[in-house]
Amino acid sequence: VTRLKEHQRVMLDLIKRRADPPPDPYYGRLAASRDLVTVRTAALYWLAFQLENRCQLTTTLLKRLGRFDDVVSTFFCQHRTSPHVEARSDGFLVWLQADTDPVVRAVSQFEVAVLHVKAGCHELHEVLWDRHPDRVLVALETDDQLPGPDGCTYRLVIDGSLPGLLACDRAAAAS
Amino acid sequence: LNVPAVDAVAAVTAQPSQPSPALAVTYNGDDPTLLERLIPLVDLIEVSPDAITCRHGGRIGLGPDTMAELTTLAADRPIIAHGTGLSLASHDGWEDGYLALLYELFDHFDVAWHSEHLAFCVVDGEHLGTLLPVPRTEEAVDLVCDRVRAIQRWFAKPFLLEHVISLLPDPPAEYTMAGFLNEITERTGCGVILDAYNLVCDAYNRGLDVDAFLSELELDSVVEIHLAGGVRHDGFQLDVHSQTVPDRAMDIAAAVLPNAPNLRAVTFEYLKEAVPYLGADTICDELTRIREGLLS
Repeated sequence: VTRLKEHQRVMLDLIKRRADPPPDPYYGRLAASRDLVTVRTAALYWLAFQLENRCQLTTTLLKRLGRFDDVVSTFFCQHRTSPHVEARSDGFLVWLQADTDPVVRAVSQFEVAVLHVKAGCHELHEVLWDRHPDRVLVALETDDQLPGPDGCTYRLVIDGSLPGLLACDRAAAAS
Repeated sequence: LNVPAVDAVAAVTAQPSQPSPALAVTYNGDDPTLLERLIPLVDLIEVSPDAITCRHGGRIGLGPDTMAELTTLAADRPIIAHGTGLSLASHDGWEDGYLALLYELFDHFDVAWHSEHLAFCVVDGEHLGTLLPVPRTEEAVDLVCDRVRAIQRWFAKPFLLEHVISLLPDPPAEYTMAGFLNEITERTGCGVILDAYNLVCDAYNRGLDVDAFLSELELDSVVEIHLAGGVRHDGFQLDVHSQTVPDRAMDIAAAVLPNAPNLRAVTFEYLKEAVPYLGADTICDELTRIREGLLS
């Protein structure tokens, strides 16, 4: 009989596709089974659903870019997902701040800042954009085409003490 | 923490007797109009503390809007708490964050009893994305019983455990499914939630012999029956609480009811995310069907 700790760690690795199964016939069969695929699919479905509810701007952007399913799957498999749904969605947005796409970085940074400020956190957040943030947010809202970089850098400040929570200025022309 | 352990069955049977088990329904917030329609149809409200959370400043707590709805609209309906996030059977401890939510709920309401799944969803602090059943071994019995006893001391209200569905084949086991539940309830005095729809799923997915399971299970320990419905996906019956109760689950509940002397409630569970698809009318009709079909 397998020890509980070993069993649970193997299950975590198998569900998150992190390691081959140990040399045990039970885990070998499990790793190749449709049952495991169903468990993983269900877990990914719920995670995607939660993220869509809590991170609407960023998930809309990722869908628009055709990356949503892959990004959620990568986040699930490679990231230590929190047991708490709020922390899980924060973790997703923070993780995306290392994305290669500058608009994904800016939108995810903006969204986590707004969520925190709306929840009563008092710290000030600053997000730099390589295109006008207003045009990006309107495009996400209206289904219009996303704007490209326009040669400027915009500094968007999110702070609970500001009227409307936001202030934006043109920080510099991009070199 | 010197509160004596509470035996679920003794505690619930010590309450004033009622002619038949109560009818309960899930309510996890965001729809006070629906709650107003549910209240006249039920005797108890089931709340999942981890489904009604929100962020207050730097901490995560119970959502004040949902708490206010329950306080004002459901003032005369006792609350029962049903968690999914404790991860009772994790090898390295349970979720303290969930316990904090449970304490918060107990601070606000006179919770009649509370319950959790006999499962784990967290490994080494990381969420699995699903609830998995705990392997039915002696080691797991010892671990679960220690934790159940601690919960019984801390909350001093009856505590129940629910068996979860298994989409995966069982790992090597030292107990049958019913024998595992029997051992834990015998050692701790906790009660059992018999989830009729989970048994339908296990029968479909894994070939569980439901009659044999019910013959072996000590029905004296069954305090609550859960009813729900879900969907079939890629050849699997899934536990998603998005449909009305299938006939087979109703039949299982009907078979258990007369043989479960300590049964206190039958609960219809639905996901709040399924309400737009199910519709409030269907949920209300389902409660009426359960009341008339099982509890009259």
